[in-house]
Amino acid sequence: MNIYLQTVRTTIAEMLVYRLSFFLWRLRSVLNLFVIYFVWNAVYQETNLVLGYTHAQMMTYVLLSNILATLALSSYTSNVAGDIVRGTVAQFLVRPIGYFKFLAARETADKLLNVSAVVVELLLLAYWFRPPVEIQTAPGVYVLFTALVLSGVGISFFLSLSISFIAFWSSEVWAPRFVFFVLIMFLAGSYFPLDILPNWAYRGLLATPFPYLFYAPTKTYLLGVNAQTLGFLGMSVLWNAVLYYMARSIWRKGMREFSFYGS
Amino acid sequence: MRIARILLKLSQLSIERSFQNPLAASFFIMGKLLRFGLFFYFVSTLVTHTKLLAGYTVDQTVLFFLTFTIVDTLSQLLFRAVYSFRPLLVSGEFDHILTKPFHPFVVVLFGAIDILDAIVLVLYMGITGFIMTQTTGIAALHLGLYAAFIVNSLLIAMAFHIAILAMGIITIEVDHTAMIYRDMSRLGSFPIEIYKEPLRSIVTFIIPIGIMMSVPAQALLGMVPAQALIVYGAISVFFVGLSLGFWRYALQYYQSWGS
Repeated sequence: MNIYLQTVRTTIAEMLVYRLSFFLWRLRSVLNLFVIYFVWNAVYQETNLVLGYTHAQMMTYVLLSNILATLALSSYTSNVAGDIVRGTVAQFLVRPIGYFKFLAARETADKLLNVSAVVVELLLLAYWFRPPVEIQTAPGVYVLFTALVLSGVGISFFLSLSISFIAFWSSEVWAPRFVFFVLIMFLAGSYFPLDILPNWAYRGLLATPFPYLFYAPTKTYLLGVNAQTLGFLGMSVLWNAVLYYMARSIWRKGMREFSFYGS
Repeated sequence: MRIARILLKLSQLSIERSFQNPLAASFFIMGKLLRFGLFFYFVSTLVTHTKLLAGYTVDQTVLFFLTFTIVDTLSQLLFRAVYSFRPLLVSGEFDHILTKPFHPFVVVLFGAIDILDAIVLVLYMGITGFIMTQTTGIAALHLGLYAAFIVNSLLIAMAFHIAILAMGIITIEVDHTAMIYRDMSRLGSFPIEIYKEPLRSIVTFIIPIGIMMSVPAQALLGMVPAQALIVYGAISVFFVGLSLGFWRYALQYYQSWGS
């Protein structure tokens, strides 16, 4: 079997060994969804149109962006910093595998497991609360949505990886990662659609990689295929390329400076 | 007095550790302020456009959010040591703490105050004070009750943190449990009235997030009578007692490092 497929399989098996950890991580995600879901629900008690969104559109946005947040935030890449600080990254370098590909395989396993869990959770929540949601029928929307989701996953992967590579120069990686999480939660649009911000802030944000994690795919699902949403895909692919080269160059620079004593 | 001296020393060490890496400390402060600022913007924008949230005005909703922020920050400031409990358990260091001639809570519960939270707390309290001056109908009695209910909230927060420690001894799982507590408490960042039943009753009576986060703000707005302090105080003492019982039970399962 392909070595990277085998990595996906063993990573899933490894994650299922720590079932309590996985269950608690999922519970956290559900609790976060509760807050956002109920806040927006309370907002729509008085009216059916808030900031240009109907109740159904907003509930669709909130639920969908939550799935995408799970995709972006469930990441193996945060462990890379620990591997670098402890020096255990060295054991991967002597193996006949590509380190980025190996990480991508671990990441895929992580996301597969989390997305499976979030689909079940959302089905249960939908059954329990019965929120109004928008269902798109045009197949083109789903094609563009899927492309944007995959591209967004790539952006989060390379961003998170670049932050972990800070460990080549400093063991204090947790502080920048904390800022990264805060930025992602707000600027990627997991609490609210970004177009409710003032126009100058919204335009400015579209020039950064953050909106292409949750906002762009979810907005595309709501709007359908048009010039704006195709533009989202163009920007998303561009950011993927930029962040890939950034992560690769940081990695190469870090590798030149990396040293570790064996025991 | 001896315990106070130990706590003071541990706090000094914790403050020194926080500033050992000034860049990391400034990143943390920046992250905390950014999170607060963006969430504050979100809450105020939301309610400004809708006028009311579950019957509360913009200023009132913002007061609920600020009260949540103050209680959450105070509990992070006081009980930060809990987040470092797992390494003590897996390394066997906890053995040394148990054999010390003072209660282990001195180290594992109160032993690492977070000075960075104290810094941002000043800002949060300033903003809360300003919003209070903009809100009509807040009397001196309400302010007194507000302070008393915040102390009560800290008792509940302490009970939760003791339960997290106890859970850690039994399962070795501390980080996720602590973060689940944080996520649960986040349910209190908005008035508890936004939640539907049975969730509202669960977060009021079973997991007393509502008493912890919403009741102080309600008291400030004159919606809670002074007598309620006795009832809510009794509930908090009950939860502290329950968590202490859980701690004692968990200690029986502690197997020590043993080598």
